[in-house]
Amino acid sequence: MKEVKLNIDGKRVQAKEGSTIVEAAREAGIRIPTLCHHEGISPIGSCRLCSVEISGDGKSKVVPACTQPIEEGLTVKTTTERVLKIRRRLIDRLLTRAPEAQVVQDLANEYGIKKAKTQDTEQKCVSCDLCCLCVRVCDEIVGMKAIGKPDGEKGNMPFLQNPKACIACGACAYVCPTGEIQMEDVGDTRIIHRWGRQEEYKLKKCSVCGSYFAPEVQLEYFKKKANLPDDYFDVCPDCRK
Amino acid sequence: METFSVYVPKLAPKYEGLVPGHRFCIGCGEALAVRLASKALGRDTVITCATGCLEICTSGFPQTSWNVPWIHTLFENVGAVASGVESGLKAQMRKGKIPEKKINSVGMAGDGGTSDIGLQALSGALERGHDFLYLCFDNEAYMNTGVQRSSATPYGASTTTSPAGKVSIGQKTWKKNLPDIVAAHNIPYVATACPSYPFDLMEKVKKGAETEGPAYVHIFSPCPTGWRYPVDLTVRIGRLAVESGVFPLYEVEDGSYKLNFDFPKLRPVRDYLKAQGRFRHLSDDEIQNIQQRVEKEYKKLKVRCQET
Repeated sequence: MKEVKLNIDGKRVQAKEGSTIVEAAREAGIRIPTLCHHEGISPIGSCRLCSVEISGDGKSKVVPACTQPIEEGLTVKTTTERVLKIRRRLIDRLLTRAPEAQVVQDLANEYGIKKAKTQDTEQKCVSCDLCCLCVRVCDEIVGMKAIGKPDGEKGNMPFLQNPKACIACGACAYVCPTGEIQMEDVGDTRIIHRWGRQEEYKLKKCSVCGSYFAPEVQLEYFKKKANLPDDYFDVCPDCRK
Repeated sequence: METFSVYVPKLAPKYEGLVPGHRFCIGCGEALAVRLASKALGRDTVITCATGCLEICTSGFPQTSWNVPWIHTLFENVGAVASGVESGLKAQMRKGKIPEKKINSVGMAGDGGTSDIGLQALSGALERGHDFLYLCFDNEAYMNTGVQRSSATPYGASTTTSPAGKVSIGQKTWKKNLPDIVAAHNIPYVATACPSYPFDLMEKVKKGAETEGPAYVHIFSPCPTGWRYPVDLTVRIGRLAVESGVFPLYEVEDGSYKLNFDFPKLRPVRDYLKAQGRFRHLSDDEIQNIQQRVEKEYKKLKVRCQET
């Protein structure tokens, strides 16, 4: 594949054509903070923490590095005063939105912000940073679209009702950067904690070894999708010969 | 963590620390474990590697499989060199020669380099409290030089220096419990892992690297060459070892034990032993003996988990 040469923070960097600034920078060991970016999911640039200043033809502008594709001869600066000002303001807002999230606290420490300027006492959920990674993973990777984007209302949680299409696969819990979504298996139930709710899903028991191996809703979904016989998931993959 | 099954593998890091083209045997559990561990460790890592399969297979001059800085050292001093790397990085950061950031110092060794030859250097490094991670890839013998027994070889296994025959049942002593020895140093993090449970392994390596102070992860690496089983069974053998209680997966955080996979009923040890050629000579009595020992050890571990 064709390689593109660019300059990030005074360092000459080579990266594959078509990759984004974040990917090129990470390849070269340059850190750009991100919250809503995941390499397996298409970027939407919603958190804007990755804002960097790019210049060419004598002009410079601030762009989100996770969506901006690289170009030949591009000059990127990741820590100019203009960029830092934007990041500090964003982190201040994140601190209002999700004061208890560890990633947000770490970012605030790094950028020297002690306390958010405004406080929201009415909100119920104190860890969700609205990065929408859970929404995208459920749509792109799992294909269930169980978690919806906040419709209409600004600054709302990704969803407030119990998701009907959820198959309890845990992809959202894995990808959540703040720890707002958490999953645990207790005995024969899988519990997913999200947005102040506790959702319970029953687990299937293996008829041979007796261990609980996957949620029933998920197995039903697989059976339907792959057209499998009814008793296919009576035994766990380890006991199946 | 292992409850994430079907979709999460698509979200695993795409970065490779150990790249293809190495000379590991087909079906090597260790290569799989190293690849997963290097994904979890990321780019800011310096690896210190003892002599063994891992060194031989990844660094044949003039090629290398490593995408990160890598030092080969002797069997006996991985602990010492890894702690030196950590101190060196700290000093360079203090003097402003390299930017301040978290760089993992990771020691990697096999069971011989850890439980036999390198034990005193490891013990010293743990006692001094260096901020480093030690990964032991346990394939239960000196596989690199042609399957000689080590102190991590389990009871009853046939190796070239403990051959089974008319008068011998193979290895006569029980496997040295290394995670327990390390946990006795009262370090912040000790865990056991197995590449058959990839997300559990990655999570533990990541946790170990993030821990302030010494951390140790003991990784069970099935070896088709030395254990004499078909190459396609590596993942299954690892799962059987965990499900039968031969190698329980647990972590010790600041002295408190937690069993990661607790099965309602342990699988018979026979399932695990009979799949491997190194145990094929074992009589029913000996298998019963091993079963009792495994159950006893498992019970001891469970009691510890409940107490803490």
